[in-house]
Amino acid sequence: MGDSRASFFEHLHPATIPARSAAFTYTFGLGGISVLLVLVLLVTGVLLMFFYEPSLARAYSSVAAITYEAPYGWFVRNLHYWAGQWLVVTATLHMARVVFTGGYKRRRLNWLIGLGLLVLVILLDFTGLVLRWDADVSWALLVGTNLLREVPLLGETLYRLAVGGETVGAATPVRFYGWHIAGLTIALLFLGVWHIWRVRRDGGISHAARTPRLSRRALVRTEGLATLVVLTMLGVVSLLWDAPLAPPADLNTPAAHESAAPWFFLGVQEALRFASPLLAGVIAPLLVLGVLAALPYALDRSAEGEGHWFNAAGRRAQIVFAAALLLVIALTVRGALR
Amino acid sequence: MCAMPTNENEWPGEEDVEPLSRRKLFTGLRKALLAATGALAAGEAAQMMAHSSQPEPPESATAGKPEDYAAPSLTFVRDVRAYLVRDALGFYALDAVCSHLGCLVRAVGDGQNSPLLGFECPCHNSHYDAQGERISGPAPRGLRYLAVELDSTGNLIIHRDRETHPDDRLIA
Amino acid sequence: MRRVALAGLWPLLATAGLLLVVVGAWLRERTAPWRRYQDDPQVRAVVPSLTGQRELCLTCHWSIEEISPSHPVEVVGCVACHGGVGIALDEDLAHTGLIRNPGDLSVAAQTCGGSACHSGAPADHRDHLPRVERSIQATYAGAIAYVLRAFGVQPDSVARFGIYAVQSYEGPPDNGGRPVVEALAAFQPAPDAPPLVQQFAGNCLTCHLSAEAIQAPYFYRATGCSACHVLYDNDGLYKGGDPTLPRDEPGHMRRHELTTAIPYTQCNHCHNRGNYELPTMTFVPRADIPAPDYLNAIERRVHEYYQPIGQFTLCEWELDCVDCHTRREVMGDGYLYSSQRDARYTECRTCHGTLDAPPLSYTITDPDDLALRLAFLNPNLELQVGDTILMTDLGEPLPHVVWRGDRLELTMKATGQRYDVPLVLGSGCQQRPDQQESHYCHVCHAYERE
Repeated sequence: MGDSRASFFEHLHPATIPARSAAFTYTFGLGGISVLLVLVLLVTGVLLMFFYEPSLARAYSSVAAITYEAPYGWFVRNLHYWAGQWLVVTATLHMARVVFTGGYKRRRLNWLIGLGLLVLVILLDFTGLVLRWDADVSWALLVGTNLLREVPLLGETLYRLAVGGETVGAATPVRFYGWHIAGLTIALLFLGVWHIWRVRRDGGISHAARTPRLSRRALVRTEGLATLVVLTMLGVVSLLWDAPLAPPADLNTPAAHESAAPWFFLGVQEALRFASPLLAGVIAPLLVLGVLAALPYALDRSAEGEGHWFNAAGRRAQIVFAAALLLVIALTVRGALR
Repeated sequence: MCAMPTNENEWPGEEDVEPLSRRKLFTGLRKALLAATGALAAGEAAQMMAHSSQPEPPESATAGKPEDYAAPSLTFVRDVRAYLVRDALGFYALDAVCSHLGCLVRAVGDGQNSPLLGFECPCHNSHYDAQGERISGPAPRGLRYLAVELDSTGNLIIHRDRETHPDDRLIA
Repeated sequence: MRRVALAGLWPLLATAGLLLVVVGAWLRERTAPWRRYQDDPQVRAVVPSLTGQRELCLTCHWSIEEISPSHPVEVVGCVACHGGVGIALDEDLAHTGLIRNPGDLSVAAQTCGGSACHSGAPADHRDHLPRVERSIQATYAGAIAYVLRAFGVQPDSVARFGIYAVQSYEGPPDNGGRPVVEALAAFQPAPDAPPLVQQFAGNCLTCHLSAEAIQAPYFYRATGCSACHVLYDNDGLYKGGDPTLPRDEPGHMRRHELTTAIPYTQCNHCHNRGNYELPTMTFVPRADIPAPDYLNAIERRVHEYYQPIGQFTLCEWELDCVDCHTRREVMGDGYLYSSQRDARYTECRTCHGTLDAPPLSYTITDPDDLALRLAFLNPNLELQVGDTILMTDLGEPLPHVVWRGDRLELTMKATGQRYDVPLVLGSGCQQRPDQQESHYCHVCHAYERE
């Protein structure tokens, strides 16, 4: 096409961008891949909504109907599941990239927005997991929600907000459904759009001061290719590995095997073996979040080194972040190996 | 962000050396494949959305013993959305679904305390006589006559899925 | 230059990859494992009226035979008896918690049981399960007591132990003063018990309703209720319509059917299959089955039916076991007995009468009479109000032995074949009224197996 008029989508990018920012090996496309995964989650989520029924009687059987009776329901559910799992990983890696290249410098607000997005992603994965209402969600339902009660002063209120009553019961599936498809999703979209808009406001993907620039079309091409590759990978994984489904949950019968937390909460589950629920389940995660939030305020207020991998000015922030990340990973691996 | 690249532009300075025909071939092929992928995926999503596992409404329903009905009488049988009529000759059933746009017609008179004068549709004012023949209004046809039978235990059964002749009566 | 020439190739390959994914989804959808069992694949759902819960089991097991006319699939479904996750079409998930044999006594309370089903009130004759749990076929109390006495562990052959601990319960009707025990403890030989008793415990507790069958021809059978009511062929091969069950793998029921028309072959999967050798306390299977080819059908029958050196009257090998041994005898009457001798209800005179009197009989007047229920369950029996049938001393009906005018007619429960029952009264029989055990009859009416 010789026509050089830009399409609507190209307006999402500036006309020219620094070549360094468009290099795949700089960002690894982690932010863009995360956005792609969110889009996949929205499309597949809408398809799932046509069939999912958030009630004690129908939650599990409607998931089974999606998986076994609706044509391609299994595929849509697998795509939704794997996109959700991957999103936790890509968002975390994206955050790591931002830390190690000093991307948070002069962009403290967007750092906080990003942190909020990560929390929302984890909560979305958690609520989505519970919607399955099979025997494997009992940890999430009982331990996960009871941890809320440990929060000083607000505990009971938070518990009721999540569960919809004094105990897990008939009101709970629709509670988690409401949070999953609307409450958390709307917040995610709002913060996500704000996050991307701030990137444009702050001058595009963070980069060193002076680099050659190139046409946005080059970036769009890279993104297009990345989109195709990620979708293909997600599709292949969804074809070959099914989202888990256990027998229906029975909250009145003790689980036959030790119930495990979802993998992104294995670290918390592991920590709960060593300390009180308040300390391990509430204070420690909040402490990690607090340290992360304080990173551009308390650990590295400099502007130097922006766009440079492992820049010297941000050394302290990088070390603290790496330590926090390694701690979470170590606890998770330890929990997974049990 | 994740849109397909719609313009096949070049890296800076590429246009001089790129073999044009091969590039065009790649581009054309890619678009064809993309269109096929999109069509297939849309078809799969449509198949999923078209799926329904809700139970079909019953095609027939029992309506008790013949002796439960006075002669003459008129009774609406909810499960099959039909009027069960007993007249001097016997039983017949009229589909209560209006032939116009599917509203349920109302009986004028109950056939017992007041003579059955006919049926009227509350939606668009179609009128039918006591035999279900169309009198006026937008309805294209009269009401359907549904088959009435006795089952092995002596209960009346009305079949929505079987139409009969207006003169047919179940003699009980 | 090279990079430029390939500029459009990677997007093209990636697009092709995505197309392959979509085609792959189509292929997987079209080749879902459950589709292989049907010619015109479709999901087959049942909503049994008993549970109201949708079940998809028949999607794969679509042509399996109905378990019995009394348990239609539209009413009972599959899950009420077999457990599992009925709304899954994945083999592993659907069969999680699967109960392969709902008749096994370890699960029967939750499958066959229930007050409206088979663990109801004795007065309604619905206490099948509590009776079976106490029957001597389930407790094995007689054999255990006998062995313990033989090796001097206990002074008499009164049962003290069973395969599991069990107590008597309230409600079984009068048993005519037969000696009973109140409770059995679970049999577990003490460490200082004689070695042969230890060996007995290790080798010989294989012959009761909870014991797994020996996996060999003639031995194949299920456990629990199904040991009797689900028929197995001697070759252990499945011959029904379930497309998921292998036809060439021994160890399966003949068909997925419950029956009260139980042929002698079914009883023989346990009984008369071999002997426990007392000196070594090991089981020695019979070496003389199958019967030699030169025997005719009835000779084969008696050959495979019984072990050598026994004397039997015609009816003991012409009829099936269930034609004489009543349900209270075989399934238990609710009491705990020390031996099968104590639990016995039927004697020769039950059908043949004595020199002084014809056999006991009564005329059915109540449409809810137990005899009519029993006849209803057996496809070979026809019985109606007004018929006069035989009964045991304690009033248990024999719905298959009916007076037809002055003829007494027996209909074989398993085959429907009919016989006229000869009466002692008015015959040349020289029996004494107090000599009713079979060996007295064998003096004249004996057939000895070669």
